[in-house]
Amino acid sequence: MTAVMKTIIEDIILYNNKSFLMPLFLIALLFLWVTETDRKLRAVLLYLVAAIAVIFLCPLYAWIGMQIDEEIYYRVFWTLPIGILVCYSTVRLMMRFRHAVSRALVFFLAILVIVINGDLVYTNSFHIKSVNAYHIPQQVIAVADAVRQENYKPVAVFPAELLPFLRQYTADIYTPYGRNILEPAWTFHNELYDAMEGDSAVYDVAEVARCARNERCAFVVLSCIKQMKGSMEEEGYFLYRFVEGYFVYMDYNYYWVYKEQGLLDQDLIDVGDGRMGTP
Amino acid sequence: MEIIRWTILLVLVLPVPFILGFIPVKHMNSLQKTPAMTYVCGWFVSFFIFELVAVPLILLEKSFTLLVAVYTVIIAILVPVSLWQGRDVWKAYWENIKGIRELPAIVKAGWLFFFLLVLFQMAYAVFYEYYDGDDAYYVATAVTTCEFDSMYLRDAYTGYLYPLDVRHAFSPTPVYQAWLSRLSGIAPAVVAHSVLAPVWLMFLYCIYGQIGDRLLWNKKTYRPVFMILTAVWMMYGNISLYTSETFAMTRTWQGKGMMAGMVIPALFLCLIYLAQETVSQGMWMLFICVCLSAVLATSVSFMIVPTVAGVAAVLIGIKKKSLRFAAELFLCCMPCLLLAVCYMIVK
Repeated sequence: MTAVMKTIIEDIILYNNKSFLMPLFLIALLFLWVTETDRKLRAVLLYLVAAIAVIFLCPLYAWIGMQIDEEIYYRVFWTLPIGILVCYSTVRLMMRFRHAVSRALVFFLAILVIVINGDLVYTNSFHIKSVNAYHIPQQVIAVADAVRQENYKPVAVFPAELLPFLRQYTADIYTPYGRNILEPAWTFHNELYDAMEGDSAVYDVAEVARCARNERCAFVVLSCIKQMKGSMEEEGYFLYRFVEGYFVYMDYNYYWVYKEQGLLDQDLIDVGDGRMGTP
Repeated sequence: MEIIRWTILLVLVLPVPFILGFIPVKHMNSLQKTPAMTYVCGWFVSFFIFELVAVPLILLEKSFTLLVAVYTVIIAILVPVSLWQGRDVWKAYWENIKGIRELPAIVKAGWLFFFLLVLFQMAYAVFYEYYDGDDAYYVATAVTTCEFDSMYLRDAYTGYLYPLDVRHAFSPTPVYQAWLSRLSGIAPAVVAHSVLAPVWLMFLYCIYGQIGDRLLWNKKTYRPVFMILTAVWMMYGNISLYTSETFAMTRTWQGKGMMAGMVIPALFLCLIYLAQETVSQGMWMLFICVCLSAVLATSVSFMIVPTVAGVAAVLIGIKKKSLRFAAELFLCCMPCLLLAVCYMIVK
């Protein structure tokens, strides 16, 4: 139970961060407890909220909840209508003043408290101007369009930075691993991923090619930012395209098989045959 | 062609939920008969029906096309029925609109400022993107569902086949988005990021608007103040990665964002009205829909909804001195509990 209590306290600290949110909620609750006269509203806004807060903080309930998923227990705090209580108590406080200036003062002070203690969602570094309606980087679209074929779904390996977005754009390409491998907590392991991302500056091309074949990848996409130790051509690949800073290589073994079966797009055949010197 | 696609999509997310909302709103009292409440009810009716149709088909490993056919037929039948049901509601709307004209100029200015704030937030949702790693699962699931015509039978991260993903199968928000995508022909990522993000923000404020209506039912002039404070609160609620405001504003289209931003406030909206002496039939309908919509959003609702409903049943039952009322209130979350039992069995 001590561990459960510790997790609950940690959850509250993480949820509240360094803000005044929880104290503000308690002040609002207390203020309404004293001033709210509507018994129907009291039942839901005060008694219900206080009761569920007590239940969610109860170690036994938390222990049961954490058996389902400890990582997401903090979501029970969403059920506390903190925003509703704070905004409503501000309005009720305004109503206690007769003079319009005093009311306006309370309103602006409340806005000030929210702004000072809060954190504007739009200044978050994860927010950037979108370049397309998909809201994914344009390179992902360009690279995926280069790899995907009209008549079949190839297996391809991509640099890690493209993984979170690739499958939001298309499911026409299979990948040996996805964005899940980027989460250290999920402890996925893949030899090809290690070969692709093990060294942040250089690709060991022979190792990448070997692992890609083990994973039956027809295409290998490599970033131009990293250097290559060896050459993909020597490993039996040809450069199909260079798009938005990424080299798209295709394995000749798959090329011949898929070409024979009529699965490849004409522009890929043109490049593939051209690299081999076939007319 | 592109115009037709966008028209279909906008019809599916704007007038269709609005029309579906007539069914519960027809059975509500005059304070509740507002266009915003109709829109709120319509979305929850859509989610309720989708959850009932989708979960069995997913568990039976049926094709996505079958789900699209069944759900679309149900919606196509309900839309005219609902339109017919709602023919009397327009009068109440007209009364509401007439009331707006009588409001003082300062209150009108307050409303205008609030609408500008919401418009800004909606525009920001369209023109700015937010990187969230979980989209690699949620949006990818919608893409995979559309492409492979199967539901939760393929790994959204790789595309390869795998056994039914029971953990997510009970909360098929991405499949709902795949339905929108299949009918409109617009890519799921565009549906989620450029359409549902702003539309569901509007939906969120409609819910808060109804809460404000009830809390300040006799203080109409203060309603825009409450709404402005709420809009500012939502914008500045990003104090940590875990708050409901962060989820509601940055992951609006995901099930988690839907739970934090829409389902839980709607749960409170219902409970505030259910605590009154006389409860309209329409409010009961909405409450049932909200309880099941919570499961569509996220499986955490298996724990949250029965707890909140249970505590509310006890407290409101005591206040009303009615055991029957308490039992009826708790029974509304029975579908949610039944799904929880199914979840435990299948898992």
